[in-house]
Amino acid sequence: MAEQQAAAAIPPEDLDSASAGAEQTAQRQAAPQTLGTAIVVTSGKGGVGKTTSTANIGAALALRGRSVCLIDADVGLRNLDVVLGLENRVSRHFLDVIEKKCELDDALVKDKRVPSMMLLPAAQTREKDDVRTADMVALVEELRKRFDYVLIDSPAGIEMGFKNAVAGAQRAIVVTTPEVSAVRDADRVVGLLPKGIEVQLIVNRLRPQLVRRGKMLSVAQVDEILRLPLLGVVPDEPEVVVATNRGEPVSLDPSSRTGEAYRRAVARLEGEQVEIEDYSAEGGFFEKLAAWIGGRR
Amino acid sequence: MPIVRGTRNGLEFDLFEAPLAEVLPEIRDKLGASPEFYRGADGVLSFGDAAPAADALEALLALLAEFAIRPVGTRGGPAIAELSERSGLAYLGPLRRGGAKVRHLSAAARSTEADFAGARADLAHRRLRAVREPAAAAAVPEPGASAAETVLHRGTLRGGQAIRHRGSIVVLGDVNPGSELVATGDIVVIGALRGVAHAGAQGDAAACVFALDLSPTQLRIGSHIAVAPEGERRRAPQPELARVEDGRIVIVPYTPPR
Amino acid sequence: MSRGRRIVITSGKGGVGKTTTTANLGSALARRGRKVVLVDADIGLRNLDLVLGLEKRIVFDLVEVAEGRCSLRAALIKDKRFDDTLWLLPAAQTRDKESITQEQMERITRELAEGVDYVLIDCPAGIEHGFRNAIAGAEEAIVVTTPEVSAIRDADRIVGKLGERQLPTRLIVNRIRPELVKAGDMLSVEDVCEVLGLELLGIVPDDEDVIDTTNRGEPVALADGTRLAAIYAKIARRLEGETVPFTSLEPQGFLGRLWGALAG
Repeated sequence: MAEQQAAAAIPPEDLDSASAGAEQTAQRQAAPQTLGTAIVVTSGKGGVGKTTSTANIGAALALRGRSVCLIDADVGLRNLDVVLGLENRVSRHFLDVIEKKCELDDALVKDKRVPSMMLLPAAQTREKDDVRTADMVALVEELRKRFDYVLIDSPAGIEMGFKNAVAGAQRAIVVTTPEVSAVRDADRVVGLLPKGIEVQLIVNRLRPQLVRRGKMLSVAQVDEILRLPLLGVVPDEPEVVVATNRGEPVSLDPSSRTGEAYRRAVARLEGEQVEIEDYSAEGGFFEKLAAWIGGRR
Repeated sequence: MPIVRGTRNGLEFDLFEAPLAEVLPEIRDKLGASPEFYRGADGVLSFGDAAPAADALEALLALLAEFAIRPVGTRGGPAIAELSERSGLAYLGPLRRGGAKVRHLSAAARSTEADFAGARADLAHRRLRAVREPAAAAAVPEPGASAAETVLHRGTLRGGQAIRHRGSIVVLGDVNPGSELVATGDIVVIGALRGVAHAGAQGDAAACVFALDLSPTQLRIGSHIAVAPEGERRRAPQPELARVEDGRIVIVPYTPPR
Repeated sequence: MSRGRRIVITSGKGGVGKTTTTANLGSALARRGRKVVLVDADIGLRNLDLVLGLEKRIVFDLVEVAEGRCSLRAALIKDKRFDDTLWLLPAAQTRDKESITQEQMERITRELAEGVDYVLIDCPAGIEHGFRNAIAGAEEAIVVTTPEVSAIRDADRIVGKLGERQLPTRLIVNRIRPELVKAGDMLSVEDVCEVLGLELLGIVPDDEDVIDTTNRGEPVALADGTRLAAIYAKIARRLEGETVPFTSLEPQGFLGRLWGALAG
């Protein structure tokens, strides 16, 4: 890919470990052809974990030293700021940037924990129709000049909000849960993604005990319909709900199993060969819930 | 229910479902499609209990004369007997649904039939409207074009996608639930058919549907509709063909023609 | 001819249980002998038919009715589990939400309301075109939320939009986990009501079996004797104007001995 070849063109003598970061940033600013990758996180069905996944993938990438910008494309129903615990730090949003009411730097919110990750929030009191697709694409291009990764958190559905979120992306991560409705909606979305976009799948909220009892779809059954390369399988754990309510992405917690699943997904995202987890021997959700609450007393 | 049926003994005109005046254009279209084929045939006119309107009957007889079809008799109730005498036609007796086997349907099948009775009528009616008002039915392909052209689609059809084609459709891939194939001709899926397929969409009940794994949400051929029986267990997929037999859709294991 | 109540079930946030609520509330009302029509307004992402197990019987849909390509009667699917009391008007799957206008939606729901007791409209997620169409056909609203910050925030936005149209609105809090509330890790129903300022119609606990029932197309409201069926029956009664107290709920497993929470 073009951007990787351009990165390889940095002269070897400049790759001294202390200055590599700064040098690369300087190179990036000097040579705008070295663009980061824009990835849209989408699903069709609401509530399957797009926003949580965007936050966690972003955080895990930042842990690996990448610079990441997360864009909340859910104008009017923004939530990425809450999931990151940054809602009190939001002042401007990307529509202000597009409409030239402020600079990009004024709107970007640095994460509390991992400084190489930034959030570009959505407007809460505006509408998705207020965003023109061309403006969105230009904004994403601008961000790709500054960041290794631009993750776009898509709204639910397949309307204008979704179309705008997808417009500037080179890759897509489709998130689904192991339920028939979610898989059907994900399939619909895959059919609507532009040709040439690289698509991968995250299966979220798997409950292996329910799968064993035949009360939930297995990853294989999901694959039978979607037939997408699997980026990750994330088990349903009680801790995620709490972490979301508290604004702390689980991928930053070394002891979190869900966090581990996201970290492994990100390793795969960067091209590493990591085996897909097999959760089939696990205990049930409510047992875990009891143990987890009991453990916290 | 086709209005004009060919039998060993000639043509049967089933004129008891709708007022005669309404179906005259359809009869004209059907006869006009192959005029030489029908020339010189005998025709039996089956009415219901009510006699047709006089001018409609006259128009029908004129139409038959135009195509050199000989009306050899009528069937129907007492009113028809009277009418026949007055018009010089031979009265052959009450309506005989000859040739149609009595089908002993299970409760579930009867229930499914009932589900679709209204839909079938609407589909058939829609087809008629297309025949009579071709300009108005912009989205619906024109009649008489079965298997004119075949379109080939490579890749899987995702939920929400649809192929609607005047001719036959071949898909090299799966057809996912929530997607739709509508063809005036046949449908062939080299893969799993899990969505909705409608073959013979302009009323051609001779169309067929083939798939390596025939597990559609719903199958339609002509104006016949079928769904898989409730609680059908997943068996190993095998190539299967669906077609209309005895007035309903049947699915048979596919064997290549010799 | 009496005119039924036209109620939209909405939330803002996706995945909180709008479709499941529509199916189950509709089923509970139909069980009580009310005539109910369920309308799936989620064009292009339809799911209400799946949740009811009626997917295979769809021939015509809402968009075809709006375009005049079939009659309303032809598109309605009768749910055979009931005695002529529950019908579904499915959404189109191969179209998008721009395929229907607010006026068409209003006209269709008004026609549906003739001679039935309830028209329940399953609203799509979000606040875009699909949402606006769905509420156009309604005279009342039920907002569904879970006790999570994101969901409540989105519900709040929705309540604002419903207020613009002056739709009387009530609240269902879905998927509550009493153990987490007790442990202080999840908002209580009281918290939710306070933020949203809505009258409470129902509280539904999180239940493992719901996923399976929606996968199989068998609304849990029909599973006689289960906790959830009783809860939906109560919600139906409240909707009809009865004053029904919220009952005590024991969480699953051994934790039940330790604490209880309100649900019903």
